[in-house]
Amino acid sequence: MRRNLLAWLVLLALALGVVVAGCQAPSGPEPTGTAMPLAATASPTPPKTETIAILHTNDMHGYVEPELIRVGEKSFESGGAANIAGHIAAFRKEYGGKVLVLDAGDTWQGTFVSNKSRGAVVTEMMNIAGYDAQALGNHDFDWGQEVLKERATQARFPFLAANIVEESSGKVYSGGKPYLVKSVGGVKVAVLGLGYPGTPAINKAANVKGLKFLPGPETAAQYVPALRKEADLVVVLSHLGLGDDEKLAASVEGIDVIVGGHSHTEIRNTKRVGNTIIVQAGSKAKFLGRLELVYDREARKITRHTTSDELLSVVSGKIAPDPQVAALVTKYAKEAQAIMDRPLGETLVDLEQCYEGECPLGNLIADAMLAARQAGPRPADAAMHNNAGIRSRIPKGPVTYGQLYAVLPFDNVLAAVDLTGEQVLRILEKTVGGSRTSNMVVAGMTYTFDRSKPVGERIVTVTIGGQPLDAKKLYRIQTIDYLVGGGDGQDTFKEGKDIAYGDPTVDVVAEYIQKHSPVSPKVEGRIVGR
Amino acid sequence: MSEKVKVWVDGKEDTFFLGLRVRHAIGYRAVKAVEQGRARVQDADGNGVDLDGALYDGERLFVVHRKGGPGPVNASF
Repeated sequence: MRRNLLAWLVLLALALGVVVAGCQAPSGPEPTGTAMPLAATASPTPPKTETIAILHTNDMHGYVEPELIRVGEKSFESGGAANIAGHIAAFRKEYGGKVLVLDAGDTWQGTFVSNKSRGAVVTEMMNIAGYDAQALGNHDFDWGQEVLKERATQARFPFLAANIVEESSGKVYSGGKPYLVKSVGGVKVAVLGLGYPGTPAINKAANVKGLKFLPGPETAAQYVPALRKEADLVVVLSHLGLGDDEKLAASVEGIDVIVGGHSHTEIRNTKRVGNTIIVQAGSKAKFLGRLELVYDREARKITRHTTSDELLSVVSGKIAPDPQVAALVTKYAKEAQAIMDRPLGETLVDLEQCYEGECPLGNLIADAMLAARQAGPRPADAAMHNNAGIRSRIPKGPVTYGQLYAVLPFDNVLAAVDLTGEQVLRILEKTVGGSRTSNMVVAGMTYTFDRSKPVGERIVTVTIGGQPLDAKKLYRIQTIDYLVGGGDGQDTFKEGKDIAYGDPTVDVVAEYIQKHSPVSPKVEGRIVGR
Repeated sequence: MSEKVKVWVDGKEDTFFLGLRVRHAIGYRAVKAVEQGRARVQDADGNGVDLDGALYDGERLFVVHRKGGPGPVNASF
């Protein structure tokens, strides 16, 4: 109700000639933009058509360092922040500055060099490259709202998230703005930002505390009519994922372009739903999207646009990488390497790689996982990690983060789910029935097995919290995202309920070692079998 | 928003928790094939999809072996 009233107020303000106005409460944050009075931007006889370009990335996930690709004797770089910035500069020149540079979110989390700086290196690169706006993806909340606000302060462009509102006031999240309006070659372009509505379900509760994530189509339907009147073109910068972008285009009239993300889709040939063009540029800074638009001022619409080869593979050799960004990345990478080499603590025993059953390294990992879920309203009863996911050993002595990363190299994150005792039993049956390396290491529970028994009877005893397993009881099990996705053929995990994701497993174990050093895990009868 | 999404992998329907990624849906062997450059993942339109792309309800994924390879990766699954 209040929103409808606000929408009418905005329309009234627009009718009175206000060029840029907030689509929120008058006291709320004002949208950012470089919109100017028409008299200042329009020439006396503007050309009938104007050609502009939207340059776009999404889901960069902190991939600021390029990947070196070797082909025979030759090699080249794929991706990387310096190459992206170099391409943006080249396009900016080609289009005479008539470009809009956008990122659709999930920008910082995903690589050690970026994680270590909490995304600061990426935002700095985007400042240098001259980005105009970024949407807020689900992973952009991974380090909490304080860090996000630090990035917002650092960025010389706005974070757009019209559908992320503060529960207490109903206003758009104070770390972002709902939209911006920018004049690009005299064409007024409105960019409305939409975050991922499922963020609270897949991020830690503390990271999104006090925020409400509204559905994309409903939010867009509230803003687009007013933006349509204010601007020549309406762009939605979306982290909804391709499926929901298509639904948005089909359900909300008046959107010219959706620049998307979240599903990491490489849309080489632009997609069209009704009158809306949908683009998305893969992920991990490997592609830069370039959507060329020819806008007809008389017809007040796009008359031509890129339909094929919209994605440019970001590789070295085509253009010069941006030297300022290259130096920035080198500096941050050196600092990150120092962290890799830094000791976390010490182990008093050799931590051998696990192949079957119980082992000290497996117990250490499972203990750390269980400890991580003891705080908060729903502590876990037990933890389970697959032996196959433990990939290296750590000899007795100092333990570095780099060594631990070699042990847990898959970037899995913790995931807690509710499972019945019967489901836990099926998981363990599967565990002892597969290859030897499919064994599960555990904490907070024990099990014994006998492989000579018939299938379905090989698990002899199970205890959780020191009590015999109750087939009907619901247990909170801490595991990893790989397994709740059915990894290692463990489909039973997929039957779980009330999932809650946590931090990367490697970081959880690193913190545990730091806290408990020196560690000396041992085999203590958690898993006994033959 | 539902806690789970329905996804088709090579025509086979499956259900996954919201928040899981393409790598979780296609299976370990296909992930290895993609990581080693022997296969790629595509959506219903033939667009490439990264292993870490978020799964969405109704998504249809296909694991396609690179030209010259020994055939569809999932054929042996």
